[in-house]
Amino acid sequence: MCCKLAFRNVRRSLKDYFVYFLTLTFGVCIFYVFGSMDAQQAMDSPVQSSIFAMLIQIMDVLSVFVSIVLGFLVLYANTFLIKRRKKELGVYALLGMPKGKVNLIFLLETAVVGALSLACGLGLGVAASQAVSLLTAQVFEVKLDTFHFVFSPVAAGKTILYFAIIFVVVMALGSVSISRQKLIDLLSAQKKNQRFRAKKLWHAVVLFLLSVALIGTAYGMFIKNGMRVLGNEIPVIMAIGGVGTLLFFMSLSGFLLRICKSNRRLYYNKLNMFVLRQLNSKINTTYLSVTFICLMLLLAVGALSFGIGVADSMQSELEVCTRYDVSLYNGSANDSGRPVLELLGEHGYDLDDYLERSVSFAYHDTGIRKSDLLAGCYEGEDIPGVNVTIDAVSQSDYNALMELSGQPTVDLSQGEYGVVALSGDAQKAVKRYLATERSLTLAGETLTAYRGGYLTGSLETSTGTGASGDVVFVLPDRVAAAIPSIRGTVSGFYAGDKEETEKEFFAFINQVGGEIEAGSEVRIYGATAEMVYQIALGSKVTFLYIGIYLGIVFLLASAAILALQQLSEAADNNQRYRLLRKLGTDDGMVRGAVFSQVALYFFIPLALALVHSAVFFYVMQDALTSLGVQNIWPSTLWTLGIVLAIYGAYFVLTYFGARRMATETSLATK
Amino acid sequence: MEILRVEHLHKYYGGRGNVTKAVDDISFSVEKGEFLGVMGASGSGKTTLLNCISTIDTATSGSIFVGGQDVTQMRGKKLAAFRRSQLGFVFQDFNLLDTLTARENVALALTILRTPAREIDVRVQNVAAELGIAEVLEKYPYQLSGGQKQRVACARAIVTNPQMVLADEPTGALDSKSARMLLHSLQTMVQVMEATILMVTHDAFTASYCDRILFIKDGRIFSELVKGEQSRKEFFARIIEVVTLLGGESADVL
Repeated sequence: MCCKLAFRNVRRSLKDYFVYFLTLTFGVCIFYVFGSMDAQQAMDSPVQSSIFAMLIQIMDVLSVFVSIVLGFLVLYANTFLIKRRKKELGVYALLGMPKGKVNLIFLLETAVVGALSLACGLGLGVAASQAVSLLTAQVFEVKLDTFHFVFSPVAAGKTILYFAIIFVVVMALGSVSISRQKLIDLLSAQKKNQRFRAKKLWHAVVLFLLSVALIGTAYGMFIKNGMRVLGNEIPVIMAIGGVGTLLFFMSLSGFLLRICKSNRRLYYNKLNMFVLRQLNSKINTTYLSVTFICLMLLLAVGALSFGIGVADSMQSELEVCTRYDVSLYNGSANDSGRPVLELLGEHGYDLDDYLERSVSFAYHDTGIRKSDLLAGCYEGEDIPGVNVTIDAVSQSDYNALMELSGQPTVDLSQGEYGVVALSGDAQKAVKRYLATERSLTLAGETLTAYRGGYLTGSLETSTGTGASGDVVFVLPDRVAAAIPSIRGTVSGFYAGDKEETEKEFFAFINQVGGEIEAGSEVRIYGATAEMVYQIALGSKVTFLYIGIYLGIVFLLASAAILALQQLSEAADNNQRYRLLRKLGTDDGMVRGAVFSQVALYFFIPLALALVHSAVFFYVMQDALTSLGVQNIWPSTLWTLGIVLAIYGAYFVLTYFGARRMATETSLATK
Repeated sequence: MEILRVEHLHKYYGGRGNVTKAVDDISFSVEKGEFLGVMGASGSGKTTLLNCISTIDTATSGSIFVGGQDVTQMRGKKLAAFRRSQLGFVFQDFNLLDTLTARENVALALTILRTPAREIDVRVQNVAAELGIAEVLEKYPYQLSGGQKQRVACARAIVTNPQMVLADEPTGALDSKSARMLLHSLQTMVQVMEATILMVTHDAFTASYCDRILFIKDGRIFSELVKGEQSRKEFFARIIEVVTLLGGESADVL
């Protein structure tokens, strides 16, 4: 009997359950998609596989976090549903149904909806993961000859387990809250909701001004300090901004009301007065959740645009890092100046089979700290890599490398030194450094700076801007020779078909490297262009997926909370709208009032979140540039697109739901 | 001048062998400035009659003319427009919006009529003064007594200068003192503000403030009383007689 009742209830209150169901389905879908990375197409190379393994691990950790967020969302939604249906539960109790049975009915209902949405979500997730798999393959430039159906039993199992836990916890908490209720409270729940106490409006005005001042202060501090002095100030700025946001939502409706009241024409226009009063009457119970929603939206926008932005970047820097097909260097603790080729030769190997052309060279340890040399030249106060010393190469090595890779050579005059700057940041700093007369004393000789400005020749292929950092000296051969050499390096180009050789070389160097390194202090490091490229791609994908995953979950959570809140409010407002219609208010006007109400609730938190994130990204500009993000517009547009699609869909759904409740009940029935 | 004319009004509920005739062939008319009472026991059809006149419910057949217009022929938007411009409502449970102050509740009736903003304050003020609620205009419904709330509702009903005010058991939720004050207010509306009121009630005392009373039983007009030159007490006594007769007849059937 209970089962039948529960099923029928679900079907009957489908409209109540719809948003809940939709959110759960979507949540399960996202959860599965990002948990099923392990089932993606086999990767081409060992580098790709290892990157992918990392991605899977990160997603695993995120999944736990996301499941907690979703758990709270489900809990919130369930509390709302119980509230909505208190009266119905009261009637069951009134008819003499034991509390255990009432509980059971509700449990069954939750279970039915949960199971249904789990099934739908998994189905949707499996479908969506096909698309994600194709996308991943495309990003990694893996050629897919045939279409493979991707399914991850592990992810499916995990999804079911996590959500089962969520449902069990939620059901348990729900039944506790039901059994605590007194019958009279259940029956008169609707009347109780409508209690209302007015507050003085000038309080709101004062609070609002205070909130704007606080938010402004937080922005000011953030913009002024930038990311440089982050450590101590960031918590303070966040606290000020957070409190400001809280006060903003606490006082906004009162402030708007006050402003509108002083403009009679606006205030007495259509139902403006009614809408503002509605807003103001609810704000005491909603400002906390709206603040929370605003901050979640901020996180969502941040995660999305950051992820997409980084994924959209990193091409320019990559060129500098991949000028040669391959570079190897001697990274031993002692005597690292010995050329790599010599080390290999000692063990009876040579690279001639793999490398068509190469240059062997070594760096020289000048002992000059970057932070000393370039003090005051960077825009901010601190210099990236404080303790890094600047290495040098001889002019002839430099020119040999330049000729090898087809970059411009340099012709230093007598007693001159050059400075190579590779990253954009370093180039700016070195330019500033060279603007004044600079001399350098090395190995007892005083050198003056090369007049042609900084140099941009890339010396090796590496995953960063090189083990030597992004600033390198070019010294006259004589001076260089007088300085101890470190990191014997070889940079070169493959012979024959590049892809083939890359594979062979990779296998060769792994084997040989292990052999040479075994039982000795010798270490050989290196990178190939392909590897650097793959790692860059890998981190792109990682950033992109983390951003999208978190972004969508936060977006979903905030939109769903708003939707549930507004739908339940619309139900509470049913009587008010009926009265308006009885008095002869146009349906159009009623619809307008519902629209304004729902739109204000949805879009004011979004607007503030967007302003917050705009300020955030304005300050983060430098950090983003150093990550290689050149143009923020594509990611901004994508982010806005995703936000509007998901958030907008919830808004439309909520509006139509609320409108139906407000305008479609018959006036004649009591 | 005739404000309301109801002709052969029928309202049936249900269908197929199970028809309830809530209103069964009722005809009457109301003159401008008249305070008409409609009395009947619960279930007699008086609220259905009111709902039909107020266009909240649709009649099965018959015509209702308000100010010369047949409201049974109106549909959709026209109905809402008719209600807000031609009718005023006073409900048993006040039906004030709890989130709005008294002033705003009264003003609401004007804003949905799209009255120019500069007129609104003046008109609200005038009506409030007339009904003795000028001092409580800035208060919220929860800060008002029942009687005050109902007078605010009256102000809302009359502020638009409607053809007719429809009051459904306006004293139903009031104690006797508040009820008396409210009835005086309604009389003021009729005598000073030249309103026409149609009031539904089952309470003889409340009805005794009317100029004329229609008694309804089982959906039909059972009898009619006109106050004329009688004092309110005499009128009250006659009402009681009819009410007794009404009840007595049903007792005979049993």
